[in-house]
Order: sequence, then structure tokens, then C-alpha cells
Amino acid sequence: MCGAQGAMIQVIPPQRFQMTTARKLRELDQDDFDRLLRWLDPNRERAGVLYEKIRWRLIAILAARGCAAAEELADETIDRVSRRVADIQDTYVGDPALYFLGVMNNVHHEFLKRPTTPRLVPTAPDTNTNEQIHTCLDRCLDRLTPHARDLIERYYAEDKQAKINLRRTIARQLGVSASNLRLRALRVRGKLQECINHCLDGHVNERDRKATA
Amino acid sequence: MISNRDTHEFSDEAVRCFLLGRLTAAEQTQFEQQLFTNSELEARVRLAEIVLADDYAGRRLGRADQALARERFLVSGDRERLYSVSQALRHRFAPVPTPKRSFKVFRLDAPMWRYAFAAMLLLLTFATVWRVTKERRVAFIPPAVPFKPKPAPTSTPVEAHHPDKPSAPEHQEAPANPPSHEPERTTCVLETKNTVEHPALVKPSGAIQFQVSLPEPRAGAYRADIFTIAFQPVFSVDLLESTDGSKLELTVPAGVLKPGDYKVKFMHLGKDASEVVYYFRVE
Repeated sequence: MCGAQGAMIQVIPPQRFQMTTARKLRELDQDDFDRLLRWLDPNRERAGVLYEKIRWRLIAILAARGCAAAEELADETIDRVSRRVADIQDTYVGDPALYFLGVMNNVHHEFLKRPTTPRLVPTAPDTNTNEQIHTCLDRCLDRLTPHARDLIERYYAEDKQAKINLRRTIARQLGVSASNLRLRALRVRGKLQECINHCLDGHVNERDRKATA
Repeated sequence: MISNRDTHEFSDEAVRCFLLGRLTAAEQTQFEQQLFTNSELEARVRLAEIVLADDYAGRRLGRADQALARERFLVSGDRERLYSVSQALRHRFAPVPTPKRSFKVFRLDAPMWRYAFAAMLLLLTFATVWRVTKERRVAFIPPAVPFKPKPAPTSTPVEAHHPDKPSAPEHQEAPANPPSHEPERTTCVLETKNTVEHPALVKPSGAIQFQVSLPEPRAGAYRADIFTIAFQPVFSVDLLESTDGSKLELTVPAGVLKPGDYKVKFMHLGKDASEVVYYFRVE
């Protein structure tokens, strides 16, 4: 089964939670942001994890609603909540995450009332980005345990019917069911993705730093 | 139902539908609420994102889902990265599909065979049309011979094993006399040999049968010749047989006799070659 039994597959390193430009919070000042984190959880690390999860949920929901500007609206929602935290933190009762959902609904309704703007067609990643992705993939594959790497290599090998047959063979060899094998492979894939994201962010930061220098 | 409301568990299909934006409004609202409060559901959605990215990169989605994934899934930087890594993994570990050169001769999807089949169908169509047109033309040509052979009278089929002498009394029907189709015949008796008294035939039609009483009965054959009064030959019969030597019968088509005076000569074909001449008139 696809159910992950509540497993957390994305572990966000503390150093990443620094309000980088990647988070795209445009007009939020540091005081509001710190207040938001404290409202979410007194522990800053846990608050950071919670913040990332809320943002991811907002984007997922907006995307599922067919909103092309899902990331922008999610950031706008967080922006508005951050500004309101000072007023509501003493009186609000319940899961703070649900407050984001309500604000997001308002933001989305307002967005739908705006005149439509032409949507930019997503372009394919350029050669440089592709090279970076492959470089980061190699780097992150090397960081996997031999067992995990072997699993991911075989899981993504072959195509079509051969892929199905191979996955059956791997599951038989490991003595697990096909769904259990899928879960294991996807967890490794999740870690790999997180590693690659971190690697790519490093490339971006380095490029920005070089550009600034 | 794609979800169980009591336990608030969504199926894998429901999670996929959420990512592709295919849930109904009610299901979408319920899913959103659960996504904000249920960590397990969130983890499943994250895994489903990876699977969807892999399927999209591997082109394992249907056309409709492919379009939905483009419109509603790849809308954030994180998901685009997810998709890029799926592509990279696929290129790294999955066999690159190279266009295989098929050596099979009968590959029906090859353009060459498509054109060949199209040409063959065209030829067949033209040949059929030409043949049908030609057959119609032949069918309407009148027969070369303007008359048809008269149908031969067919005898009634007789069963081979039919007994020769039936036990039942034989019933014989007298054949009805068919209407006579013989041309109308006029009888003319020729008795006098002179031109003073001679019989006259008024508008004869069909045939004229001359019954001749010979003045000197003589057995044997005769030759008959009919002339106009100006000795123009009109009709002749080479051989006439006298039944008893005293009478002759000569049948002449009425059409050869126009109104006027005629004489008919009967010559005995014996040694003496005696002649008898009679006169008649046609009015």
C-alpha cells in the first residue's frame, strides 16, 4: 500500500531554514517571521519543519484547484498570516495550521476575481541546469548506502513489462511484497530528492554569490 | 466512493485524483481538511507526487492525465525539480529507447505499406467499376441475330419406370382442332378451253386452286405454265401429277396474279407432249 504509516520522508536540515530567497517571502520582515515561527512551535527547529509542511500543503491544494500561481498564493497566504499573528496569537484556539487554510481560501477567492493574466509557458530546463541535476544526482547517489543505491538503481531500471518483471524479482529476492518494495524505494527516492534539492540550492547560492562578487 | 468518510482514509486513486485536480468539490474540501490535519495522508501525497513525476517522465500516463499533470501538477519549483530528477534517474538507469530499425518486411504501420494498400484498394475499386460498367453495356446490346429460333415442341416427360399398361382405364382426350392458319384458298374450276367463256376471280386472296378437267384423260405428269394474255410468263410448275388421268389440281399464290386476263397451259410430259390451254380472268 501507498500508505506511509505516518513516515516523515523529508527531513529539513536546520541550516536550510534561514528564510532564503528560495522561500520567496517578499515583504515579510524578520520580526513577523520569527513571531510566526514561535506561534507555530516554541521549538524553532520543529517550527521550521512545520512551516515547510504548511507551505507544501498550501501549494499542493492550490495546484489541485488548478491555480497556476500556486507558489505565489501560498507565499501571499503566509505573508498575511504572519502579519496577523501579533493580533491573534493570544486568542486563537486550535491547530494554527488550519488558520492558514482559511486565509488561503480568502487569498484564492481574491485571486480568482482578479483579471486573468496570460500564463507563462514553462520552459524546459536549460543544459546548464540539466548538467547540475546530473552532477547532484551522482553526488547524492554516492551518499546513499550500497543497499539503498542498489535498490534505487534496480527500481528505476528497465521499462514497461520488463520493469514490472524486474520489480517482482527484486521483491521476491528481498522477501517483501511489491507494495512494500515500492514504499522502500520511494522513501529512498524521497531522500535522494531532498539531497538533490539541497545540492541544487547550493549551486544556486554559489552562482548568486559569484554574480554578486 | 473513493474515500471512507468514517475512517477518513483516501485510496491511492483518490490521492492521484487530488494531485491531478480530478476530485469533486465535496471530495476536494474533505481532502484539503484532512491534508492539514493528517500527517499520514500528507506523507502518502508526497510519495504519490514522486510516483506521478516518475510516471509523467516515463510517459506512462494517459493523454488526459498527461495534460492534467502539465496543468495542475507541474506548477511549483519543487515539483519541477521532482520531475527533472525523475527524468535524470530514467536516463541514468532505464534503457534509452532508441529507434529500432525493424527488419520485418510486413510492418503494416510503415508508410510504404500504407501507400501500397491504398493503391491496391484504388485499383480494386476501379477494376470493379470498369467490370460492372462493361457488363451492363454487354447486357444492353441487342442480339446479333434478329430472329429467335422457334421453340421446339417438347414432349411430355415420361417416367422411365412408368408401367406400359396402366391398370387404370385409359382416358383419351380428343385433341381439339387447332384453328386453321392456312391461307384462304379460292377454288376455280377450269373446263372450257376457249377465250369466250372463262371464269373470273374477284379479288382473290391467299391461294387459288385450279381444278382442271382434262378433255382427254391421259395418265402421267404435266407441266403447268401461266401467262398473261400477252404471253408474259407469270407462274409455272414443272411437275403435276394427275391422280386419275382426267383431273389436275394447280395451286397458285394469289399474289402473283394481278387483275387481268391469263391463260394456263398444261403440257403432258409424255412422248406426244400434248397441250391443253385454259383461260381465266382476275378482277
